[in-house]
Amino acid sequence: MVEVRFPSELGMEKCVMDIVGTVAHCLGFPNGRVADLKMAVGEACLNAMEHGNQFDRRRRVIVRLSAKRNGLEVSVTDSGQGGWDKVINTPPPDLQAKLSGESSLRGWGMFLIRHLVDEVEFLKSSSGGHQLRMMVYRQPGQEEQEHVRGTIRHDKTNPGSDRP
Amino acid sequence: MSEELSVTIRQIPEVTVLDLIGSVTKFAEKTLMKVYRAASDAGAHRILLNLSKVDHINSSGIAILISLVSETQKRSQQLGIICPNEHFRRVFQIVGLHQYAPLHASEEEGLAAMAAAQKP
Repeated sequence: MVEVRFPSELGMEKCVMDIVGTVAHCLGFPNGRVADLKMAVGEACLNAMEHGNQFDRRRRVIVRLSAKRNGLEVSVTDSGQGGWDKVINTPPPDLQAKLSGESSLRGWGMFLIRHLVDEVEFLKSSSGGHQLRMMVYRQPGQEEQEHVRGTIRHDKTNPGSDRP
Repeated sequence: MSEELSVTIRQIPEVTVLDLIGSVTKFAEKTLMKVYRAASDAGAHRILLNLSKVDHINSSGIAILISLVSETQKRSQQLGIICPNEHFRRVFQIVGLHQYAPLHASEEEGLAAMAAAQKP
């Protein structure tokens, strides 16, 4: 288990991405999967800092990495009280609507996370904040049955299927 | 943080290449759009966005690239993206950006595609 705690300050997510990348490389993940994982974790950290902790640098984000037999489990926890509903409940972004100015250009983070990792689960943390748990296998879809039991699985054909 | 990205303009006959170096994140918007608008004001019609030396892109950076695509559509410009990085290409395909700005693995490929598009 590796645990990283950092203040809610833009740029910190890049340090965490480097740590996650190093761990994934050490565990034998292929380069493509490492890149997927790093980006997903970076986006999760940005969401935690912005939507969970409102960029209050006194509030920490906690990232925990836990090696499993076929993959790596990552949780990103904030200490905030609100702001996540907008992220979790927003429908998948519509690029054409964004190009025509009908919707905000932003809103890609959660969409990307759902596409880049094998499992996504959103929880309320015991400390009152929010936790995003992600599972990435060394090869996409290389499931590890003892760890998927009881989790909300992400269906790649329906990116919104893991919403509460 | 505002200097995470540098952008320079390179003119090749008929094609304007914007060479990006660094990270495409929230902090890139001002720099990238300023250089793009300067190129457009100078008459650029065919633009290649060269991401060969970009080491980091996040969701905010993707939003900026979408904004740039939107601007090129309004100005009826032809836009292509040079992107040797396989991961970035995959992300652009997930987002759907490749439908509006063709992705090229090299500058040679991008220039060839631009030249082919000019032929009647």
